Amino acid sequence: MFPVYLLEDNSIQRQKYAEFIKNGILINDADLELKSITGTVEDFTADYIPQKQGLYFLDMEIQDNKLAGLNVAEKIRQDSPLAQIVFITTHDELSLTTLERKIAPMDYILKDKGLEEIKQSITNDIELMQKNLQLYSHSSKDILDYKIGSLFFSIAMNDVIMLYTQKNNPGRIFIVTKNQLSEFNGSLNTFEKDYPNLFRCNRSYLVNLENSTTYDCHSRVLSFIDGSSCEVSFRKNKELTKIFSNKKN
Amino acid sequence: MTLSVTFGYVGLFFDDIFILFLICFVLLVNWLFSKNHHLNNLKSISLIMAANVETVLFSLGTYTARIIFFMVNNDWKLRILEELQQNFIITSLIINIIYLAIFLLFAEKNREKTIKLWIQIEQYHLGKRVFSISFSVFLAFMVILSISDFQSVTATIQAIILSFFTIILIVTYRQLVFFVQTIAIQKESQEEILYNKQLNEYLTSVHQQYTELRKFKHDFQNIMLSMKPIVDKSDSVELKNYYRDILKEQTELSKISEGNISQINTINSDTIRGLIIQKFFIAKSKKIEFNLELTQDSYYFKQDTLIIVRILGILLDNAFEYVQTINDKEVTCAIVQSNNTTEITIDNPIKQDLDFKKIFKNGYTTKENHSGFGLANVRQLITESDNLYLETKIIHNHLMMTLIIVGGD
Repeated sequence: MFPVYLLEDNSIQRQKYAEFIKNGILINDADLELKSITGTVEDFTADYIPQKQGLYFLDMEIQDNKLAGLNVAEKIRQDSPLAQIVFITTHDELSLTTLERKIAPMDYILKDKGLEEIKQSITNDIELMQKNLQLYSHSSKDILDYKIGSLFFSIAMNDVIMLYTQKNNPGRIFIVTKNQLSEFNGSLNTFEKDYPNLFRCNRSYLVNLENSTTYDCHSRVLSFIDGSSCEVSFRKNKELTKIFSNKKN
Repeated sequence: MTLSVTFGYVGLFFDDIFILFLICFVLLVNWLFSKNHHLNNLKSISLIMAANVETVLFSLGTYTARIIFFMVNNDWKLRILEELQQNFIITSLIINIIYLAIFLLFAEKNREKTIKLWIQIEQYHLGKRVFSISFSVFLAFMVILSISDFQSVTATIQAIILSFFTIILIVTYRQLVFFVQTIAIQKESQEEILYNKQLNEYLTSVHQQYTELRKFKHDFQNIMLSMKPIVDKSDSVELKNYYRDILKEQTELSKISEGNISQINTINSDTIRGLIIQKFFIAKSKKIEFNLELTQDSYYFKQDTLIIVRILGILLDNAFEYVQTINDKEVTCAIVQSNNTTEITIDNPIKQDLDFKKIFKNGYTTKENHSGFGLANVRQLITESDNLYLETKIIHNHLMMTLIIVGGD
């Protein structure tokens, strides 16, 4: 069972949302439990136990502090990169792009849209959370971490497609995931050692075979779900062919 | 030019000093017949410069002709020239024309530069100075020529004086061009400072208005909230409808708190601030909603601002270009700064059916990206510097391109 938290200072709304969440869990038969319903940051902090997975519904403005929800979210994000955060808020409290950079919330639910729509959004978010939980459960190492300057980035392993280096840009690793392309400084050797689930298919490519689609062992071209592909070195061909034939069986 | 050339040939049969008198005469006529007895600076300068150039070319032509005649006859005596006077004049004229043609070709090649120089001289009222410099050079030249004629200085010495004078003439003109350009740059930067000052004043006033509006909005919300119980208790349907209508207005009002250009003063770098302001106005003219999310009190940019400006410019242009093809014309620029790490995000909505994988392909096929060559340039700039990183992300149907700058001390 994974925890669901609700933080909302308005008692009437709090009750309503709690009801919606419980309903949503029931409908989706989700492996979740509404563990904490609180109205102040202090109460929330008292209830809060950092956990790898969790779903958090947060109001942005708590008791006249416009940034209370954001601060709580930053704390949660620090503790658990995989936590799913949903903001329930009014429209004018948002700096969406900044929020996306800092928190990367799963969803924003706008209060001005009316209760019916809020209910629908909450149910959808619980459904999405349930799907995510199923996906992550069978990954051996579920997060890939990297650092740029003083910033730490975490990417769900399930989303990782490949890491690669370029000759004209030594010391820099590019990472391709299902929805992003980023770069950071590091060496592929370190990542190969730290993440044994990733496959080194040639000197400059480290790939996540879980996100590969096909392998042509004659042309030695490995394809991925995003339509990209990479060449496999002659040395690694045999090993990869074996992995793929095992995969089929 | 043609005028002076004609007089140049006439001058051949008189003395060199004739040219000086002629030029002075033309200038005097100009001065007498112009309105308010004002010399047309540009025309006078052209005339004097043409006279200068032509005198030098003519002298060079004469000497070249002499040398040719000496060499052909293998006899270095002036007497030869007297014997072959007819031939000599024609030859020196022909050589002069050849020199003139070369000079005109050269001038034609630098036509744009010359025109620009003229415009600068006119724009910054440098006419008088340039005129006096070129006129004194011309005067000196004439005096030297005349004195050497009167004193019957030997041809060799005259040739040496002339060639040195030609060199000095070229150097002076070059210096003149440099001087005009320096003044132009100085004036331009002065104008820019003035422009920036005006812009800053404008932004301050916008900021004030915006703060007042916010205050009003805040009060308005409170009034509406406090009225709610009264409206609820009331039996009047009309009042309730009216209240609901005003509430609708309130959502309209809420839009004003969105990203506002007045926060731009939190950025310390003139160049970055300038770029964003410029793009803000471009967005406005293209009817694109350009939001700025500057939630911190201040942003410091110490280094690489020129590269950052170039990258941001390209990213913003790409975003503008793209949103013009869709209904949701909205671009957001957000800056987050902490512990010497700065993230600048350009965010624009993208249509569901956009094949976003193609953008990422840029990274490892170099073939494709969604808006032409711009992104390749960004890539190049980032590769060239050690402390820049680019992140491209698609989330909630938005394309977010983030430039991460690590650095400072």
